[in-house]
Parts: sequence; C-alpha cells; structure tokens
Amino acid sequence: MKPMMRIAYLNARLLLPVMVAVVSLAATAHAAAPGISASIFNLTAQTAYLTQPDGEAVYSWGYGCASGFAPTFLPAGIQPLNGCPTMQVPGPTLIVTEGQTVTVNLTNNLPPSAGNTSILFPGFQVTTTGGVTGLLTQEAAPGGTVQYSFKATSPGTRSYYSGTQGDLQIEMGLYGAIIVLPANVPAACNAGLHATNIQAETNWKELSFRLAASAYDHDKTCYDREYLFQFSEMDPNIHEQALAQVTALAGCTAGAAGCSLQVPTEPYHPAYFMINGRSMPDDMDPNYALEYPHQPYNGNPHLHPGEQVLLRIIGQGRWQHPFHEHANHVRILARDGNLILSQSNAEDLAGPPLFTTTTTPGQAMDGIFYFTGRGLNWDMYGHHAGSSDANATLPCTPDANGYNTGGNAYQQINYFEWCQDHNKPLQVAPFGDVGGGGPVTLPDPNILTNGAWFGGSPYLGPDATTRATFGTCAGSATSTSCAGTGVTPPSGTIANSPSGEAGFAFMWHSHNEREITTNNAFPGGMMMMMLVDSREFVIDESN
Amino acid sequence: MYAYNDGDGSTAYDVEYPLQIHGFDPNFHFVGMTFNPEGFADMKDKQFLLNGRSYPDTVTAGPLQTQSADGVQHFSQPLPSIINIPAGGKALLRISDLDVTEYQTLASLGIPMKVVGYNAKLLRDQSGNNMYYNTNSITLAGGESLDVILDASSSAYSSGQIFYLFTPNLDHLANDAENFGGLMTEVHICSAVDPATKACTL
Repeated sequence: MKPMMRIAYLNARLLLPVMVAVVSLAATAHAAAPGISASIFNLTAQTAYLTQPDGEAVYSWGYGCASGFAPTFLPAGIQPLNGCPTMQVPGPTLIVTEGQTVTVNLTNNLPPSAGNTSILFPGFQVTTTGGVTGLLTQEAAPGGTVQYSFKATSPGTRSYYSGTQGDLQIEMGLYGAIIVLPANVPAACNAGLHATNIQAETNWKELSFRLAASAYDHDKTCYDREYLFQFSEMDPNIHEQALAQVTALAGCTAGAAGCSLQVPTEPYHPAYFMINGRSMPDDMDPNYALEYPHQPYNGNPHLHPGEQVLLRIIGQGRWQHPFHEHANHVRILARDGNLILSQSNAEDLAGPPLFTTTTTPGQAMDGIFYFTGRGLNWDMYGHHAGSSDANATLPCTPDANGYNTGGNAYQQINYFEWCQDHNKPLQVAPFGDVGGGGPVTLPDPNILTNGAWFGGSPYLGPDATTRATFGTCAGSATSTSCAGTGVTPPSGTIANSPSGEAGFAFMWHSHNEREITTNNAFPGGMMMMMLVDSREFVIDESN
Repeated sequence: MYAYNDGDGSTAYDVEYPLQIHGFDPNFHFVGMTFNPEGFADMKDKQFLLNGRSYPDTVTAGPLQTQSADGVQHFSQPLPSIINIPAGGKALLRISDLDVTEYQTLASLGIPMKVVGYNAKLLRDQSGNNMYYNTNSITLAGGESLDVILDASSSAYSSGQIFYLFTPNLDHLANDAENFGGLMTEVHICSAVDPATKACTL
C-alpha cells in the first residue's frame, strides 16, 4: 500500500484520540506467502498483545520461534527486520518440501495456569516423543517440551493448531499454516505462457516471490505469484477474562489445585475479524512491519494481467466466513492438500470455479486466480489510434487464446491484453487523450469518485489513467472539442495514485457485514484490496 | 430452455424462477434511523426473506405496495416466490443469497433438487464430465449463487399438489415474534404453466 492516512477510513463518530496519531507510512506493502524453513522447528507457545486498528491491544497466546532457533526465511526476498518473533498470530508458516521429515519441538512457555498445550498436524502421520499424555496428542506441560515428527508426504497447504482445550487455546491464537512444496515441479511450469510471464517479469526488472513454480506435482497447478490468507476471529471478552485470571494466578504452581483457568468460551461474541492476524487496514501494511511485532503477515494481494496467482486459504478460529473474491472466479485446486482431479482424465482439474470461497475452521484450500480484463468489453488500456503517445497506439496480436502474448508483447504494457476489446471505446465523448464513440458517459471524477482506492478512471496503468485525466483538453473546459470532459485533475486516490500505481482495486472480503468491521467500526475486519497492476508497475513484495 | 450451454441437454427446464435469499435485523435498521452507532457485532437476523418477502407474503400473487414518504402507495416488494411447475416438468431455480449476517439453507420437501451450477458456472470438470448432484437442500452464504433444477418429471406428481421450499434452520421460520413464517414458499404442481407469466393452469 502506498502512503496513506489510516484515519481516512474511520468512521468519524467512533474515532478514538489514540487513532488520530496513528499514521501508516509504509513504503511498500505487498504480500506473498512468507514463512520459515528448517528440518527441525523449535517452537514455543507464549503470550503477547495483538494490536488492532481501533487502538486496542488484545492479550493473546501464539506460537513462535524458541530462543536460539534461527530458521531460514522464505521467500528469500522477504526477510524480517527483527528475526522470528517468540510469539506470533498466526504462528510461523512452516515451509517444507514433499518427502521431508519434519520435526517440531514445542516448548510450553505459557503461564502455568494456562496448563498444557500442543500442536495437531491434520493430514500427516505424526509420531510424538516426550511430553505428557493429552486427549488428542502428547502435550507440553508448563515449562516442558514435546516433539512431533512426521513425513511431509504430499504437497499443499494445511493448517496446524492446538490440540489442547481448543475452544480457548485456538481462540487465544494458537494456530498456523504449513506449506508443503512439491518435490517435482513439472517442466511445463517453465514453458509456454509461464515462460513468457517470466520474460515479462524480467523485462520490467521484477523479482519472483513465489515459493515454487507449482503448488503440486501437476502441470495444471503452475503459478506465477502466491498469497496465503488465514481467517480467524476474536471475542475480546474471552481474552480479557483469560488475562484477568492469569494475572490473579500469577506465580501459582503448574498442576497445583486452583492453578487453572476457568474462562467461559460461550456464549461466543466475536468483535475482531482478521486475515492473517490483522484487521483492515492493518492487513495492507507490509509483512513483518515493526508496528505489529506479533502479527508479521499481511493480506495485500497484487497481480498483473495474465499471471496465475495461487491462493492458499485457511479457516482458523471457529466460525465459517464467506471469503468473497471480486474480479474473477477462483478455480479450486485442492482441499487440505488433496488435489481434485477429473475421474476420466488425471490431466484435468475437477475443482469448481468459485467467487465465494467459504473458509471453514481447520480446513485449507488452494485455488488459482487470474485477471485479464476479458469480458470488460472496453479497451482497459485506453488505446486510441489518434494519439501521439506511443503507448496509446500499441498493437494487439491475439495468440490462440485471444490474448496479446506473442513476439515481443512481453515488453509492452499491454502484454496479455484481450485483443477482441482492443481499441474498443468506453466513453461517449472523447475524454482527455482517450477516444470517444463508446456507450457510456461516466460521472465526473471531480464530483463523485474520489476515494482511497478508486480515482474514477476505468483505465489501467498510469499512462492510460493520466491520458484520461489531463489529456489534450487540460485547462480548456469550455472548449467544444472537449465537450466538458477531459479536464479532470488526477483524482484523489490516497493509496492507488493515478500517476503511480493506477491499478484496478478490487475488494476481497468476508461477505458478512459484521466481519468487515473492527469492533463495530466500519470499515475494518476481514477486508483487503486486491490490486491489478499494469505490467510496468513493479510489484515489490519485499518489506 | 437450458440453464447453460451444456451441449447435452442436461440442464433443460420448462419454467424458471429467480429466488433471492435475504435476512435482516430490524433492531439494526432501527438504530440506523437514529444518530447512534450501529452494533455490527450484535447483528442477529429476525426477518428472513425470499425475493424480499417472508412467508406467507411469499405466496401472495402480484406486487406488494407500501406507503412511501410522499403518502402514496408504491411497489415495494414486486416479486412473489410461488413456484409453479407443470406436472412432468422441471423448474430452474436461480438462487442467489445476499444475506450479510449468516449462512442460510433452503430445503425442498417432496421434489428432488439437482444442482447444475455453482457461483454462475456449470458444474463440470475440465474434461467435460458433469458433476451435478442431487440433494434435498442447498446452503449458501451471502454473495453466493447456484442453479438448481426442481425435477417433477416423475409420474408421481399431479396437478393440484403443493410442496414446500423452506429453511431447516428452524429459527429462520419466523417473522420476528410471529412464530410461523420466514424463509419459506410453496411449490405448486399444475397441469400447465405459462413460461412467461408463470401462470398456473390446474
């Protein structure tokens, strides 16, 4: 996200004094699926406070890296400034490779009154060493350690979470994700359109931030970019009660009579709804941002037209959430690491294309998303034969699928343009340096369409957006040739400047109204902006 | 008529109906009329709607009118949700859900449902195999849609029969304090149905 004032989003009548002082000035804030890699993960369960955009600090429990444990951070381009936190929500994303033997040593550094804790790894055959016997698995007693070991038998995205008093411990934040990368990335992932996408990336000096070139050992799962989204919610009353009881029982002896928590977890009344442990707008700040020391992961997807984007989506917490993706369908590849293939031809996928991917507690899914502009029915690059701007007169040569990908198209800003719409006008009257003759008259952006993400331009990229705002009619509002249009200044986007990023912003969000609020203040919660960026805008996922 | 360009006739239907699921919390609406902040976290739906109406209004023919601020009656809820199916025929239900509070389930009592489309896509794998499924209920979140065919093509169905589409979320079968209503409508078997006007000839 570009520099933005967070207060711009807040409902004025709910504005707290503390929030006025909070101004986010992140230089870059993109996402990917950052995590840690190791053969032996030494984790700890500890307490800390999570920050929320309403100014609250919520007492929580989470997994983190044990003292002295120095994992490798992946992808290489996303490195934390302060190493691995000793507690984070969600827990560290464990990145391993298919066939690898994974060992997790968990030390329980929660307060003694919190009792035992543990980790479940659904989908894997886990053997345990040490610890004490629990209901679902071996547990780590306060101050103690338990070891879990398993073979990462198949690729994909899965959740992990506490197997001890889950109604309280998962609510408090004890959950995370494990990503298993395929052992054999298909050769097809570096051929054809994937190779051309890489050429385009190289041409614009963009780095790759994906963990692998495919999600599974299958050439229909190749991808160019990836994001991990974990959905969870918090009931602040539960957290307050846990803190009060832990405080009252400070210093008690673990296991002694009375040294335990009696926190009611029903009735359940959550007020914070989070993606990757953060509520909007915090989720659009960078990974490992220093202001969220215990919430390192963001939710800030970006993509270029034509890129295959892998979405790794996990439901944590205890509610289902209707995660609603705008702009296109998500083709579901797999659920809980199980690739869904056609029964008549194992080369073909069988997962449904969805525009609402319901997150379910404990369940993970992988899906492929892309955007090309096909179906808009106008030239989103604002091409216009009469222009003197070279970028306004680029050619579009359709490949077998109808897109502009052949030859040196990867060097052009209209790479992957849907050629059937090439030069197709949108607006009735010429607008700046964008041709007329189309079907619609758009509202004057001076009056109606200033916003943090939407500047009123239907065109992609700074070149087309600028031509459609300044244009040849600048300063001549009364000119008949301008017909009262083409005079608008760049509209007031805070986060998606017409002269800079000028992407198409699509809201990706829970479709439930309470879940796009932060403790009753709209907007907030499970909401983020997916940016379709013009090809020349360098998506820098580093932080 | 076909729900999709299926190429094999498998989504054929005789008559089609839009059904939009919705629900709302009247207390939240009331607060919206005041100058107090709404309690989003407290939202709890008490009215449950099909095409903007709750049962028994769902089976009232013609548009409903209410008085607007100008003192004049205006159409407020134009669409009933009466499902008329010709005996031996099939009805396509184009179901969308815009409830912004919770998931809703709609069940068919007596007539099988065949789900042929989900989120506006034909249910088919990339090899072209149909992945339709038969069911007696469907569950949707806000922002979702699906296409389901109510199949009354069996000879067991005859003109004059009445079946029900209703929610098995039993607390949604109410109109706030009124005990019987909510997310429910009727399916009528007719000897003929006009596909344009949906008029039933018994």
